[in-house]
Amino acid sequence: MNNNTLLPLLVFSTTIITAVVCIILLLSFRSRNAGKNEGDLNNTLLIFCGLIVFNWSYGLMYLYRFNILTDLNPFVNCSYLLVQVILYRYAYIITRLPREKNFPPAHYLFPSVVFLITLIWSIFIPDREKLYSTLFTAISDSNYPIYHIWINSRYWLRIVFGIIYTVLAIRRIRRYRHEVANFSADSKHNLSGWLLLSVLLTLPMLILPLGIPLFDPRSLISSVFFILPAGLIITQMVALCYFTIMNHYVIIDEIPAENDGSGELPTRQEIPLDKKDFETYISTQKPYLDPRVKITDLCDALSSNRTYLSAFINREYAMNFNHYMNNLRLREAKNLHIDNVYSAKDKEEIALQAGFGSLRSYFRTRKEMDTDKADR
Amino acid sequence: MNTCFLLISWLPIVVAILCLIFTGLGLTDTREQQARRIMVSAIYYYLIIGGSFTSWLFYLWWPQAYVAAVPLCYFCMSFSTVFLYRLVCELTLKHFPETHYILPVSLTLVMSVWATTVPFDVKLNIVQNLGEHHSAYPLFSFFFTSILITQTVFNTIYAILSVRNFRLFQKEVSPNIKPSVLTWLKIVLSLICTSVLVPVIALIIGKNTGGILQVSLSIILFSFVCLLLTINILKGNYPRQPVRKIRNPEENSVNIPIKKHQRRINPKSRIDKEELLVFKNTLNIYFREKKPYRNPRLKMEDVAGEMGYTRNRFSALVNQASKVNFNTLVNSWRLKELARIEKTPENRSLSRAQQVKMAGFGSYDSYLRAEREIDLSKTRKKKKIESGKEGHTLTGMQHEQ
Repeated sequence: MNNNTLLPLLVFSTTIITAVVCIILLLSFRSRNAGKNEGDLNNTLLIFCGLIVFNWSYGLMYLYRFNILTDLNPFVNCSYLLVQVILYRYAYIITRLPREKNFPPAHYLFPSVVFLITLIWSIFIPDREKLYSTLFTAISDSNYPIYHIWINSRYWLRIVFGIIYTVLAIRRIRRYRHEVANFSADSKHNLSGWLLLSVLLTLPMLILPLGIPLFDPRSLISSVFFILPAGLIITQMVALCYFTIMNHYVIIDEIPAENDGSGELPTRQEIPLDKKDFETYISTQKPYLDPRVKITDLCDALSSNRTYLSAFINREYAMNFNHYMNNLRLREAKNLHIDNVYSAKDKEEIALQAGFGSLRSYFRTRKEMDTDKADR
Repeated sequence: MNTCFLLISWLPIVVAILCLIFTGLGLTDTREQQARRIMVSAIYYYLIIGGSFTSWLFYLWWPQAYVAAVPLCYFCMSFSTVFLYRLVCELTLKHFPETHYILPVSLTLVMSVWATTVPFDVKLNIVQNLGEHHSAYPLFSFFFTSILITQTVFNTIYAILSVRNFRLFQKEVSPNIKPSVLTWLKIVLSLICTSVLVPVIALIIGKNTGGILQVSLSIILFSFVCLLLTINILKGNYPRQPVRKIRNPEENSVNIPIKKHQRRINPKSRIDKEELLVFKNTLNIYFREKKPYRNPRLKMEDVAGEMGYTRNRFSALVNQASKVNFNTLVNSWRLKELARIEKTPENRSLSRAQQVKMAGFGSYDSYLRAEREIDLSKTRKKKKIESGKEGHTLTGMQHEQ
């Protein structure tokens, strides 16, 4: 075995092993993340990793067992597109706002149509032609040129799908980042940077489907450049898997934590909130001391709802819920610092006592507040 | 040597690297000391497992690289169980003496120094001939090819030590911990004990066929062990440090419900009402009996440790149970203690500053600030009740006092 075959073998197998390890981890943590949204996310990522296993196994067969590829064309054409839809679905579940409908099944329509067309068409094509269309991109030697173009269009469709769904996902994440600041003051888990990064990784990965129709697929797969898309997909899977199993996200949900699973939204009238009452509640109950406080946790006590309360804080204090809670935490931390006995304590203890999830969150918030002050 | 065997040999390297990445991510996420120690030990173990199988790949596919890195390969291939033993010690709450590194490091050093005195071609020749001794360097050849023997000896000793630790741990604390913790540890140790037998079989069968059999079996065992360790370490599915019991001199014993707290709970996970109630009662008993607030330098970590919680978890529980932070809670107990001191006839001769210090305040200023803060909260609460609205408890615990 020479280096030309050794390298793609190791690259393909590494990606497949990573996807399988991610599947094992996701299955192991399934019972822990048993909530509706958590379960949905887990399942979506399982499908995503499953599709990666299939696509990259297909690549491995392309190099070593290409005689069995002919029957897989419909599945490959579909899964190339489906992988992008599933990634978008993952981002959709995290960024879904209350009362927003579930992931529209219409997104599966196009991959399904592609699957059916390829399946039916392939019945009438001889195996030798199917194999040619799969292995070579040059149209000149094909006896079925339209079928050949259809099979090889999967690379271009993959690029188009990749770009469209990445743009859609980025738009959702941007809107979510704005909304989550009005919902949760969990300064650690509100960050959706990892999700944005994972989605953005799709774009450089598109050089693979772009390269295949332009160059000879075999020489491209055997080259060192092939390590780049493999490295990116591995990074993407590891990041998504870790943050999913460790619950590093906040889903905007109208139902307070205690009522999770009841399925019914609390219906409250919008009783005007008195600023004095609100501040009395904040100073006596100190909800900001809970590092994972959400706006819905305050709704019961204040007889209000999420939308109204959020608008109230924005109007009265000219800042979002997250900002407001962090301001209170910083004030609490400052008071703890002033105290002679506690000033000697390490910063982390003070940060935790003030309601920050970690010392890092404390420093980040302080920096943000300082920047805000300087801007003003 | 076929493609399939290469792929199988590649599997544990990738699995070990992935486990290392996942555990590394977990390490950046936690501040809990015990969890960090366990994760660091696991990372060392994955490194050495990855190194061990990389050495094997080098041996088969790239002998020059194997010869160039022979001390490192020797270390990884022979002493992986020492690192596993360290991890088992952490998991079974036992101390791991650093002296266990002396022999592996010494043998590796001997190999490094000795290997420099032997020509590269001689070493390459030994590897290419699958361990056949070189006539000009018989002693070195023996040492150079002794990996299988060293591995067998070390694996056997450290597997026995690991099992012994586990059995001791079972006897000491098993009634207080979840059975699932013991189950997965038991599976890991069973796999390790099986792995001990693998080089023995290889020694019996012979180096050529036995080596391949050894690697194939080891690949499956170690990949599974690495995954099992990663899943359970990330889940926090291991016993917590033992919890000290709080004794009530009047009622013989008032124990913190150890069973509830001994499992590691994600400090960021939601807290249910039942847990809050248990926590409130336990903390009240602890403060009433032990009076930790009398110590002006009391740290949250001390109380958290006494009660068997991590600092983060304890802080979250205090904040949610009492609606004040630990600092304010301790000060409220100190104020109550001060009121009791004032009423005691023998303390009446003491100055106010002395009484304040006796109650646990670090300074008179601290006392004034605490009093001001608590008075302010009480006034707010009173106003709220007077205004006819439902009053919110300043601190549930203060009322229970």
